[in-house]
Amino acid sequence: MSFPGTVIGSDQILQLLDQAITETNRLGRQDLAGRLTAQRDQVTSGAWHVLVAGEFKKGKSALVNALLGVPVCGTDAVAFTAVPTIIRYGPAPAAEVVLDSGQRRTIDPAQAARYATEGAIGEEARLESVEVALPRELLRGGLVLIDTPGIGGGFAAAAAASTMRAMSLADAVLVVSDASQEYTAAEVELLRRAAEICPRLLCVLTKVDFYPEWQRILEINKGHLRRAGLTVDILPVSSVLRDTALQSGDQPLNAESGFPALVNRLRAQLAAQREAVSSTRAAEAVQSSLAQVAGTLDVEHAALTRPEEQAATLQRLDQARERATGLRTPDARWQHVINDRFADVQSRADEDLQARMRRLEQEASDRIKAGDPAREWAEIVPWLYQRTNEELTDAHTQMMKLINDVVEEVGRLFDGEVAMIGQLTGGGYQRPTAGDGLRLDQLSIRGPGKLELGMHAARGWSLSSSVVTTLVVATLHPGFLVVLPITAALGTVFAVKAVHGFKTARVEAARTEALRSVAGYLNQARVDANRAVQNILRHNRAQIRDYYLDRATELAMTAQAEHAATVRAVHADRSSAQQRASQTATDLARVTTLLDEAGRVRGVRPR
Amino acid sequence: MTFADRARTLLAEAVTAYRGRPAERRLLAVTRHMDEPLRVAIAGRVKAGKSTLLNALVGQRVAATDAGECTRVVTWYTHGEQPSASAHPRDAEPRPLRLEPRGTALVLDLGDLRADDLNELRVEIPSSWLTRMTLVDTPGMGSLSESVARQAQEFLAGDTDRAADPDGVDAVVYLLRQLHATDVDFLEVLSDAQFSHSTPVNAVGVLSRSDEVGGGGPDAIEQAQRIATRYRDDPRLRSLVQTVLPVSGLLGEAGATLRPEEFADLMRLAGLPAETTAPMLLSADRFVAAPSVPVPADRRHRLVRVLGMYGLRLSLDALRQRGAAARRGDLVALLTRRSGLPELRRLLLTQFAERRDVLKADSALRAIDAVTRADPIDAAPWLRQQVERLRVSAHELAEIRLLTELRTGLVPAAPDQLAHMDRLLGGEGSAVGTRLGLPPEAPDAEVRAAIAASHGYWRRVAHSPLSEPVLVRAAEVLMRTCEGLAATLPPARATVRVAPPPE
Repeated sequence: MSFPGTVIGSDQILQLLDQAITETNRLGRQDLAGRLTAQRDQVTSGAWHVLVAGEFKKGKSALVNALLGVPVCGTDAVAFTAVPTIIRYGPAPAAEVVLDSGQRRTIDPAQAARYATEGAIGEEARLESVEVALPRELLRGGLVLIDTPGIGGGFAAAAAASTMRAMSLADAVLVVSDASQEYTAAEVELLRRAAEICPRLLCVLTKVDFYPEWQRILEINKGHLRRAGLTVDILPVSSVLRDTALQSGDQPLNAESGFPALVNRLRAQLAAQREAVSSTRAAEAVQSSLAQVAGTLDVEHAALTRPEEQAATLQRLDQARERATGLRTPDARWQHVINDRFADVQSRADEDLQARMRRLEQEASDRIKAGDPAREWAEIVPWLYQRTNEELTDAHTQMMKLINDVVEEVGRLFDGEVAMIGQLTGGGYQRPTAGDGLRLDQLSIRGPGKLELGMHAARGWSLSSSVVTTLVVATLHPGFLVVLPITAALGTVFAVKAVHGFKTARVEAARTEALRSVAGYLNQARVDANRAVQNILRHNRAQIRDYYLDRATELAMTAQAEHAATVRAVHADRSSAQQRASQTATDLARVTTLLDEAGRVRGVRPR
Repeated sequence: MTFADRARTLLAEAVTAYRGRPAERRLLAVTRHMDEPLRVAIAGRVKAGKSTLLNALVGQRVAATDAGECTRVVTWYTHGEQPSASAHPRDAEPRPLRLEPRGTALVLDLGDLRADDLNELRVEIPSSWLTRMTLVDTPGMGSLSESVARQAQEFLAGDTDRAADPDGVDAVVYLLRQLHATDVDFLEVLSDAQFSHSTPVNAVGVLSRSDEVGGGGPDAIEQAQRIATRYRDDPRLRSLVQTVLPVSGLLGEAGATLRPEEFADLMRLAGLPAETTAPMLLSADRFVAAPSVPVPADRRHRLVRVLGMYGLRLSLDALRQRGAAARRGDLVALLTRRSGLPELRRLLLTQFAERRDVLKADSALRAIDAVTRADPIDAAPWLRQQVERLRVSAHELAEIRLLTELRTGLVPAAPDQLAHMDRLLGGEGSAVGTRLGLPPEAPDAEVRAAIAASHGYWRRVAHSPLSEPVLVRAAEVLMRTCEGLAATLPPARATVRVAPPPE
C-alpha cells in the first residue's frame, strides 16, 4: 500500500533551492551548486532517526515490522533481539551486518531477522548491528527506524545508559510497552529521563488486540505520566491487526490497528522538524552561496564600470585569495583550535568518567561494607545500575555540551577570518559569513560556558537545540551507541544458596565477592562509555573539520573567481566591457531578488 | 514402612510415654502438624498472576484478581465445611470477617480494617482441593507499596526451623514471567527464592501467564514449554527450584469455574459460521463490539475476561470441531489440560508431599529428642535411641540432602555425572522409570538392568581411590537408592519358558 505525501518540506524552500542551484551553475560555481543539491537532498530525504526502545518482550520488533509491512526484524516468542537493526530506504532490498571488529559483510535481507536475534555469525564473530535497506514508501522521506534490544528494568537496567546515549542522538524515540501491565516505577523513571534528553518522545502501547482491559491500562499509564509531569502521548497499536489488515487490504481494520495514526504522527513530527531545522538551514545555505556569487558579480561590475580601481582591486583580491587558501592548510588557526579543543574535551571526558566511576565505586563499597551484600544484592544491583546510568548520562550530556562549545568557538574564529576576507574583497554585499549557517548569535550559552566549565551535572540540557545537532550528529547513527546489554551487566554473584544466619566469615566472603564484581562492572561500564566517547568525538571532529574545509574552499574559489573576473575586465575592449557590465547587472539583479527571498524564508522560520 | 510412617509410630509412642506431662501438648501439636495437608505458598513479583493461579488451584474465585495490584495481606486458604473468614490484626484479637458470594466469586469484606494493620487473613471454604493442600497467597514482592513487599518478605523468610514451625510452609511456588537474563527483576526473583525458607527440593518455578507468551498465538503454550525448558537448564534457577513448569492461571481458573451459561454462550458462538466469528476473534475489542451476534455484548465481555483471547479461540475451535455433541466437561478438561495446572498439582501432591513428610518426620524426631532431654523420664533413653536408629536408617532424608547439595553446586562431579545423580535422586520425578531415564512402559527386565548398571557405576565411583570424599559419600547414597529402587520391583520371575502347545 502507498502512503501519501512522502516528500516532506515546503515547496517554497525547494523552489528556492532549485533556483539557487540553477544560478550557481549558470555562473560557473558548480561547487556551490553541489552544496545546495546536498542541502536539497537533506530537505527531501535527509536521515531522520527514530529509535524504538523499551523493555524486553514488549513487541518492539513486531512494531517495526508492522510499520513497514515486512518481517524485517526477528520476532520470536522465546529468543530476544540481540543487536540493533537499522532500517532505511533503498531502491532494492539489501542488508549488511556490522561485526564487532567494525567490518561489514553483505547478507541476504531475508536473513536479517535471524542475525538480529542471534547477534553473531555462529562462533565466528559477534555483531554490532544489522543494517537493512528496503524500498518502502514510508522510508522514502528519510525515516530511519532503529529496532533495539530490550532493556530489563527501565532506568535501573544495566543497558539503560547506552540506550540514553542513543536516545540523545536520535531525532525521535518510540518507547514501547504492552497492554499486559501498567508502567512500572522504573519504566516511568526511564521515560522521565528520556524526555529530558530527547524532546521528541512518543509512547506506544502494543498488543491491544489481546488484552480486553487495554483501555484501563492506557488510562492508568496516562495517570503515571501525568504524575511524573510528562506531556507525552501514548498511542495504542496492534501489530497483529496491522499485519492482517495489510494482507487483506482491510482499511477499517488497518485504522483500528492504530498504525495509520502512528505513521501520521511520525510524519508530522518529521515535517515539523524539517520545517524548523532543515528548511532554515537550506535558506541559510542559499543565502551564503548566493552572496558569494553576488559578490563576484559586483566585483566584476565595478571593475568593468570603474577601470581606474582595477589595480587596487587586483591587489586586494590577491591578498584575499591568499588568506582564503591559507584557511585550507593544516596550519590554519581554526584547525589548530579544533585539534586542541577536541583533545581537551577527550581528556576531560576521560577524567570525568574516571572520577565519576571512582566516586560511585566508593559509594557502592560503603554500602556493601555496611551490610550483608548477599542479602541485599537484589537491592544493590538496581541501585547501582540506576546510579551508574545517572552518572553516565550526565557525563554524556556534559560532553555533548563541551563539543557544542568547541563548535561555537571554531565557528566564531572562522567567521572572523571570513569577515577579514570580506573586507579585502570589498564587494558591495554584506556577506553572511560562512559560519552564519550555524546561527551562533541565537544560541543561548548557559552557565559559565567554555571549557573552564567544571564537569557538573548537565541534566536538562538538550542536544536538540544545539549547534552540534544541526551541523553534525544528524549523520551519526544512534544505533551504534546501543551497547549490547551483555557487555555490562552485573552477574548474580550469589546464585549459590547462601547459608542462613549471620555468620561473619560468610558475610566477609560475600563482601569481597560483591566488591570485586562491582569493580568489574563499573570498569566495564567505563570502557563502554569511553568507546562511545571516542566514537562521538571522532565523528564530530571529522564532520566539523570537513564542514569548514568546504567553506574555506568555497571562499578561495570565490576570491579566485573575483580575481579572474577583474583580470577579464582589465583586458576587455570597450564594447564588450559595456555588454558584460549590463549582463552582470542583470545577473546581479536576479541573484539579489533570490537573496531577498531567502532572507524572507529564513526570517519567517522561527528557530 | 516409610521413614515418615516409622517416625509417626515413634511419635505416638512418645505421646503415650509423656501422657499427662507438660511435654505432651508439644508432642500432640507436632502430631497434628504431621497430619495436616501440604502447605503451599504462592510467591512472585507484582502482577505475575498469583491470585489467578490460587483461584485455579482452589477451583473457585476466592482471591481478588484485577488489572491493578490487589493482594495486600498474606492470606491462608484452608478447607472448611462452611465458608468463613477471619482477620488477624497485629496488635489485637482475631475477628471474623464477612465472606459474600458474588456470582461465582467470594468477596472478602475487610470492613473498617486497614490492610497495613493486619498480620494475616484466614479463609475457610469447602473445596476438595483444599483438603489436600492449604494455600497461602502472598502480596507481590517488588510492589510499589513498601509495606506490602515487606509483608511478603517477612512471611517467606523468618529465621525459624521451617519444617518444625507450625506456621511454616511445606512448598513454595514462585511465579516467573518471561525475563531476560540481564533483567533486574530476574535477579530479584532469584533473591526472593534465595532468602525465603525454600530449597530446590521444595520450591517450584512457574512460568506464569503461559497463554500470553509470544503475543498469545495458537502455539503460545508450546512456546512457553520451550522457555520453561530453558529456565530449567539455567544453573542459577536449578539451585533454587526443583523445576520450572509453564502454567496459565487464567485457563486453569476458567476451567475450574466455567459456568453452564457461559458454556451455552460459547456453544452459541461456536455454532456461528466461521465467516462471522473469524473477524470477531481478531481482537478483544472486536469480539465484544461485533453487531448482531446471538450472545449479548456484556456476556461476550465476560467471556473474554474469563478466558482471555487465547482461551476464547481455543474453546471456540474445540467446540466447533465437536459440533452439537460437545459437552461442558470436555471443554473444562481441555482448558485444564492446556493450563498446565495438573502437572503442577501432581508435582506438589506427590513429590513435594512425599518430601514434606520426610522433612516433617525429621523435625518430629528432633522434637522428641528435645523433649527427652528437657524432661528425662524413664523411657527417654530408649526414645532417644530409637530416634538415632531411625535417623541413621532414613535414606529418604539422605537423598533430599544430597539433591539439595547437587543443586547448589556442593558436589564436585562432571556435568553428565551430576545430571545422572540428579535424575536418580528424583530431581525430575520420583517414579522409578523417571529416576532411571526410562519410558514409563519399559518392561521390568529393562528396569532391572538399568538399576544394576547404575548401581555398578556408583559402586565403582565410591571405591575409586581418585574420587573426592564428598563424591564418595554421594555415590554411597546413590548405591542405596538403587537398592531401594530394586526393592520396589516385583520379584524376578523364574525365566522358564513354557513351550508353545504342539500343533
